[in-house]
Amino acid sequence: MALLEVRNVGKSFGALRALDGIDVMVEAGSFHGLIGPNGSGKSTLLKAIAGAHFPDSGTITFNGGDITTATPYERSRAGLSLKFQITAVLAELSVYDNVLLALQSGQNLWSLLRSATRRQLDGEVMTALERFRLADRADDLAGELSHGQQQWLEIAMALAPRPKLLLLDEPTGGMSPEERRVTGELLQPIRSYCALVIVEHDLDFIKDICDHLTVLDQGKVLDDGTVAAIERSARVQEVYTSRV
Amino acid sequence: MTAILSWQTRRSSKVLRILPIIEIATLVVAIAAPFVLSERLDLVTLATNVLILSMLAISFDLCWGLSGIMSFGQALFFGVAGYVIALVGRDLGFSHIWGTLPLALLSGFVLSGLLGAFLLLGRKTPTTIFVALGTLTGSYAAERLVSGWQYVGAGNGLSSIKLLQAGSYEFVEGMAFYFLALAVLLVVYIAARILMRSQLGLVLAGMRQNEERLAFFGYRVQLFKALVFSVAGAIAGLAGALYSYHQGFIGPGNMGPGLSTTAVLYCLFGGTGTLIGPILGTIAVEVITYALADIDAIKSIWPVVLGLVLLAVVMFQPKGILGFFVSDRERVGSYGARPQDGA
Amino acid sequence: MTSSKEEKSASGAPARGLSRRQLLSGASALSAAGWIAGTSGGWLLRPNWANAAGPIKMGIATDITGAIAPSGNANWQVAQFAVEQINQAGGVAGKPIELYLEDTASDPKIAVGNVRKLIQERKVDVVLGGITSAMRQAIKDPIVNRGRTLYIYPQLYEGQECTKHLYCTGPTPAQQCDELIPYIINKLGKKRFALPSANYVWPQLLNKYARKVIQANGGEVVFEEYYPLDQPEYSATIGKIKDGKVDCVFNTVIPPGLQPFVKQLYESGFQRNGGVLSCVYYDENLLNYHPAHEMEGLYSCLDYFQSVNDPFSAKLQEAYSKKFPDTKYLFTAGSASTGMYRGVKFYEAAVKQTKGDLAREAVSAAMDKGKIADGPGGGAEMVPGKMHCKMNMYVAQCKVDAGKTRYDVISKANMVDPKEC
Repeated sequence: MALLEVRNVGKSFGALRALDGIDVMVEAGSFHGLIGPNGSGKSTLLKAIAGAHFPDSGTITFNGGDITTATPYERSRAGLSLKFQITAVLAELSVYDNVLLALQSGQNLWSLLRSATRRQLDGEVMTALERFRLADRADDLAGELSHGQQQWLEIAMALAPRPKLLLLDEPTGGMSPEERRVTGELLQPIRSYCALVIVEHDLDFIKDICDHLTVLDQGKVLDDGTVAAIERSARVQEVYTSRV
Repeated sequence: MTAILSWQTRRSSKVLRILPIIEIATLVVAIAAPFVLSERLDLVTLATNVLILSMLAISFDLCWGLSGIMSFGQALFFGVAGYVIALVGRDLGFSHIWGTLPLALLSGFVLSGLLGAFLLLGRKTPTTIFVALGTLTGSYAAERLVSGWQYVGAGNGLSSIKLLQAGSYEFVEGMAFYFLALAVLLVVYIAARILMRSQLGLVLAGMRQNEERLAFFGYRVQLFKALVFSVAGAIAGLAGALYSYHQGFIGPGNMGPGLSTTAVLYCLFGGTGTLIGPILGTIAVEVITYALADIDAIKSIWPVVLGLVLLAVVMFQPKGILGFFVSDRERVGSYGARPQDGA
Repeated sequence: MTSSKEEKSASGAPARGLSRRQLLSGASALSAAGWIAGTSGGWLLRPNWANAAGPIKMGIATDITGAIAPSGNANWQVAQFAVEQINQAGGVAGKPIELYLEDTASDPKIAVGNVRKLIQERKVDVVLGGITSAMRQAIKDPIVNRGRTLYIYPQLYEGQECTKHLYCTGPTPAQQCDELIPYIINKLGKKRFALPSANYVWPQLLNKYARKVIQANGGEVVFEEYYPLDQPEYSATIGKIKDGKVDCVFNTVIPPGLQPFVKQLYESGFQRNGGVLSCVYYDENLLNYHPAHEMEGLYSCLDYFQSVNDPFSAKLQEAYSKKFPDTKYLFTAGSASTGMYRGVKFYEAAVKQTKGDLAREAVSAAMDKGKIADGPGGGAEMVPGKMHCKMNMYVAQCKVDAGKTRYDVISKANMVDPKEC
């Protein structure tokens, strides 16, 4: 059984059929890319998995449980984490507190009120910041970081609760080539405990870090397979060469 | 190891912190004030009123400044608790401090809990406007209801409220009541300060900025909101009871949108989300009102002046008076005790 | 509105273009006229020899604005009038009286704050005022209980106010009913009473007492009903009056509901057919609220009417008219003005007794046995331990001459007992 199973999912916006009978399997520990031209439905699919909207038909199973219409809270508890496309760091909190906020989400009210885990989590916060090269900015407001740093902070926050699956929507949007390269490097070590689903325009970046790709076109799965297989796929070549 | 080192470098480069200085200065002034004013009982009374209304301001600050709940109904809890203790005094002849102040806390807590559950715990996430209108309506409806209810004195309100007792001692306006109010305010302030600067306060601060994001972290955002709303309601209730005892009078106007909006004004004027700001705002607004209200020419247009001041503050100084002294970074502050503080 | 402003312009002080500070420093013109602006909104009337040691500070808390303003302004004028007379005669025990006014604005919420100023900021020795019972209820606590100050309440009212250090100088239900009702039953032969009333505490308690007196004298209450204060339509009530063969309407409906009620009662022919309308709070002022013909024949019972045949009262009216020529605020009984005058004089008498000691306990003890020889309608005398006073009561009937109303006094009862507390 795969970690994430998307079965026959459909979603319409008015007359537009955004997703039409999608099937996707994501294995534990795999880095899974969703690619396709603009409007192919990859972002819509990611949002359906994240719970930002619910599909009209089909089911989504995560870690053995049906999460098709689960609340964000329930998804999060099940081990699903998410990094938004538009950076949603909390600009008026310090970088440190952004990560702390993500880390302490499992605590109960009483523990939070007593600040019981503050000391204990300090090391974890700093380790996460170290890993994403933000330790020296810990005390600055998140809003003062550069765009690329904000993306890293987001990823650090999304990883903080130790999810089993992280959804990344356009993680390198607005980054310089150097920042993209570093982002790829930063993501590699998480493979040991966390699977990734990435929506990304930058095909080179995708090819560098993913091991499995699903190609969408007009709300349908065009092809699915390893990076090498997709690179050889005639159907994918056709869509990309004829449209791009 | 490197993490800890870099942490400490950051700490050592910290600039002078202004907020604690303002807090301590305010406390010193508050303790000295009644001795300076002892010849003028009317000013001691005014000062006591300011302390009591400061609690109402803090109550609103917990909602809006801390958690992003735009409540235009804090006076509702203030007024209802005021009526409750007035009625307990009238009908049961009871006004002992150990019973009535907890009762006031409880009245505020339960009532705001119910209203909060209704407004905040629905299936859909409520918008700021929905909450603002909901609380405003509650406040307005309560004022109208009480205005027509003979048992609670209808439009005339309740007067000759039994004096607050501690043992056989009765609190009338003056020094003793002032220090009682100051003590209660101090407890409320410290409690609110602990809440605000705890890890829970961090959740609330995050919630205020981006509720959806917090939900994706796995926080039950609406539950947190309802809880803070109830705590704020309890504080408003406590203030209402003290007000009732101090004034010896409570009327429908004490639970209406007028007073609710005044609480908003205190906070915006002083600086929301800082706890001490709303107290400074209350002092400023009340003292200026007292000084000017007796000048006939200004009396009639005073509410308009207040409105314009509020407008100016919102437009040009959204951080309130405190914004002039305290940097953004310090306003944001940090949460939970700093680990190395204890080390 | 207030006479203070009239005085200001009369003394020639420029009203506009002056800052508050200038107004204060340039206050000599005002003080020559007897006026100084207070530092906190209220007005202070200070006699020219106020610098004599230890003036008596008297606070007046009354409704200068709001619904009850006509009565409140009359009270304030009467207080000034009475105090001026006392000061001109050398004050009390060698001390002048300084008058302080705070507006209770017909609103208990505003009143409690303003009354506090009299007590805490002015530190007055006594407060007189309040007109409605709701107002008395609201301000008595800040004055008597919290403020530890003597309080004198001047208005006729429903009774049952038995608070220590709170003295009532207006008529009680007993004083208003004990003469009038037996007169109506025994002299006029009217036995079937209707008690139409406004729905609040004064009519309820007054009716309770009136019913007792009616029944004790062999009369009968056909109905007793309460209406909203502003009810405009009374045909059902008029119907009941007709059907029940009521021959005396003992009315406690008040304005604004009163005007339509009296009009509809008159139009039903009640008075033409021999019915008697009585209204125990009606004085000269209130007659002007109605067309004269509707008022003709109305019976009232009060502690004073302007037509009372008493040389002292006549002189009092003359002096009042001289001080306030053409004023619309008359010196009458229904507006609490007579009670206000009596209150000031009782206080004067009490301080004379204590030889100038202003401590509340001492003055209150003297008040308790207080007596005043003269006043509007005659003297008055506290019933010891009861905080209410005996006074003369008059039954009078409204007559109309060439479209002008007046009261003819029919009977006088000497020193009627208030029967309270």
